[in-house]
Amino acid sequence: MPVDSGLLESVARLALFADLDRDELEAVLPHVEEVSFDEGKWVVRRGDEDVGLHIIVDGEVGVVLEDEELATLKKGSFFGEISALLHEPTVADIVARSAVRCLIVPARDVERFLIESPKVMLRMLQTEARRLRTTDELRT
Amino acid sequence: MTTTRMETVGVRTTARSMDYLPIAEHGIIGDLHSIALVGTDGRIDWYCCPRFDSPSVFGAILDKERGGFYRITYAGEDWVPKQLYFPDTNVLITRFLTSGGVGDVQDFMPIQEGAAQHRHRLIRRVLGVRGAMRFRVEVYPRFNYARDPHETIFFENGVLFRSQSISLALETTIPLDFASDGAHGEFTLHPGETATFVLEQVPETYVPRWYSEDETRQAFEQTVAYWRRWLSQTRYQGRWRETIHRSALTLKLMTYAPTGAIVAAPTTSLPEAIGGERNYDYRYTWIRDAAFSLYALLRLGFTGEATAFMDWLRERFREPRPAEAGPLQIMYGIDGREELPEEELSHLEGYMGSAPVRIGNRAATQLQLDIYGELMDSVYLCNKYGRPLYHDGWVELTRNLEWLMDHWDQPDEGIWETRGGRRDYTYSRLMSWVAVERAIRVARQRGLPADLLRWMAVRDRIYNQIMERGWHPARRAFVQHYDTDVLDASLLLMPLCKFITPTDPRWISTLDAITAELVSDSLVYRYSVDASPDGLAGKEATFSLCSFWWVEALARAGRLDEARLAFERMLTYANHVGLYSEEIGPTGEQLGNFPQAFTHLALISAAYNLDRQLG
Repeated sequence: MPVDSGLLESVARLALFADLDRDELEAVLPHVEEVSFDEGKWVVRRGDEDVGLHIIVDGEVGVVLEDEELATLKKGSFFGEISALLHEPTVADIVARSAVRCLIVPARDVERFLIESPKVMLRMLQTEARRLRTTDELRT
Repeated sequence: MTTTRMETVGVRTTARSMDYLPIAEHGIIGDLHSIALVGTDGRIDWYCCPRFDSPSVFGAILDKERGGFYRITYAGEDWVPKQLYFPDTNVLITRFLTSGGVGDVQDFMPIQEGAAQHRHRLIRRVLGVRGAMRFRVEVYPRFNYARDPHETIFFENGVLFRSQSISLALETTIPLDFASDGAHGEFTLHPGETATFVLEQVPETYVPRWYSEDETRQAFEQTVAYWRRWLSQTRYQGRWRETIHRSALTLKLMTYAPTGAIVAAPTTSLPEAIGGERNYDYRYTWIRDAAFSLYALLRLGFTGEATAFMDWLRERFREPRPAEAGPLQIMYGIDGREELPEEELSHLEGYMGSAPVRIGNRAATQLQLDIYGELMDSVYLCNKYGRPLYHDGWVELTRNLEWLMDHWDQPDEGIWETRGGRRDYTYSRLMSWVAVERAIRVARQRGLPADLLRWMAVRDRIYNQIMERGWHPARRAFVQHYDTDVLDASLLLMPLCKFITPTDPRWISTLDAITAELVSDSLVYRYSVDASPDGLAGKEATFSLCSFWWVEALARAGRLDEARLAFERMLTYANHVGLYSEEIGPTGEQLGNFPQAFTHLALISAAYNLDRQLG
């Protein structure tokens, strides 16, 4: 369903959208959907296709691979972007660890969404860079 | 990066308000750049970033609604707080005891020795000790003394608070939500579990990072090791060692590592009386306070601080000043700047309504001739116990001393910085005598060039003038200034600086007079405000600095039982972690800026000398 305009203030505080002014934000939001999950529900199952870019507005999710929880993602984080950008199935399960509210950019729209919103794309790249750096540090 | 969205300016913290904690209900942490006050309920209600004299980020101690705070506390009801320092360090532990469990918050600010770029980090590590403990975290920054708006941006690894002048990242794995221009959340810890919150000054484009438990533990251990290594330099083995160590650690926390400057206190406008107007900004370097601090640290064997401060001071000597103002200003910014314009922050209500809140300090332009005495005494001691004086330093010192030789005999504003006009203060003359006397000693001991005949003549003129005009024959006491019969506790330094023999009848009668008029239950007033209008409205409490001077004067006069009891009584006024503010009120409450270097250095000096006298 379309994003409620009441969400605007919350979304504006998420890192991905932090550099957009109000006009830019209002232009972006109609292209995303808002979804909610109860605690314990599966958000994404491993092998799912076309899941889209999920941006967490409230709550937290667990990233699960072969019964092991690898990470917890929370407000301001996102997932599903690799699957959408590579057009490949997801490689992990995502489970709601609390009541979760997400914005979803449908998989088919992710590339266009990012190209039309370079500030969002830069923020996404920064987060990916931070994830890579963290992984490197953990390895060493 | 451009943005047009900013949050509302100066909004009240509507999400969760709180009352003022007593000033004494705080511990202090720091990184030799700035400090944070940590309340016994886990609140940080004073933190300026990145330096002591930077605008506050958390200032709820000066306005509980608007000032901003950062609190980690037990989320339930009925808990008992405890607070202590990790032994021999400035790592603070706040404990929450409940019938169902126990949890600790370890607060510390890592110190980077020799790092070109200091990272300004404030780390809060929460530990589950017993039972399941639910904690609440609330972070409501209010930048630039709650004058600047900011954005709150949620990232994968935490939150970024971005204002126009400074950005802070709060890095944590704990989920947080937005409220009132800040972030809050709750979490539960079981025994052995930890949660870490790293607050760090960062560039505005920063992406918060993930901190591992190993990294946090390493930062904790390095900080503990730093403080223990520093403290291990002390040679002091006498009585009250723990108390003296805490005072030394506190004085060290008030040094600004990049320049060696020492602040008088790390806070502004904590009132000398609740509801009163005597509220000043102490986050600067007074020549007097810093010189006395060095004296205390040198006594204990900390020579590095003395050397660093002397280097800072030499830079001040080189700055040109008008001849009539003297070669030194009485106080400077920690970076050496002379301009400290005073401003009242009328949007802040002040601690428990004690307005005005002031930043800057217009006393900077006062003439206080005593500073040359305190300075020369430190030079003398530094030369004796620390790094010997170099040739260039001696040349600069004597040049400045020559100015004092020509200008000592004039009214000034005096040690207490009263705003009631200039007078011929006896203490200022006393310290002028100290300046010349110590310079003569250094010249003689080191064989350094000096016009000793002229210096000795000046020294003796000052001495004779004090004995004639500073002495009130009818009162049989030395008095505050030459045209009064009012007593002044600053003159307790007369025997301490060896101007007069501690058993000289003139001194004994002065000591008795001060004891009778200015001492109340071992607590000492600076002077009687009623008898000596000082240009300021309102009453003040007793001055802890003077109380410790009184102890030392008693000890030197051989009244050891009296001195020891007075000293032990003073120790009962310390707070739960051994800290003192500037003053003590009638029911034992701590008042004024906190903690105050002057009080702690006087404690060290009194303890050191009393211990020596007791043998």
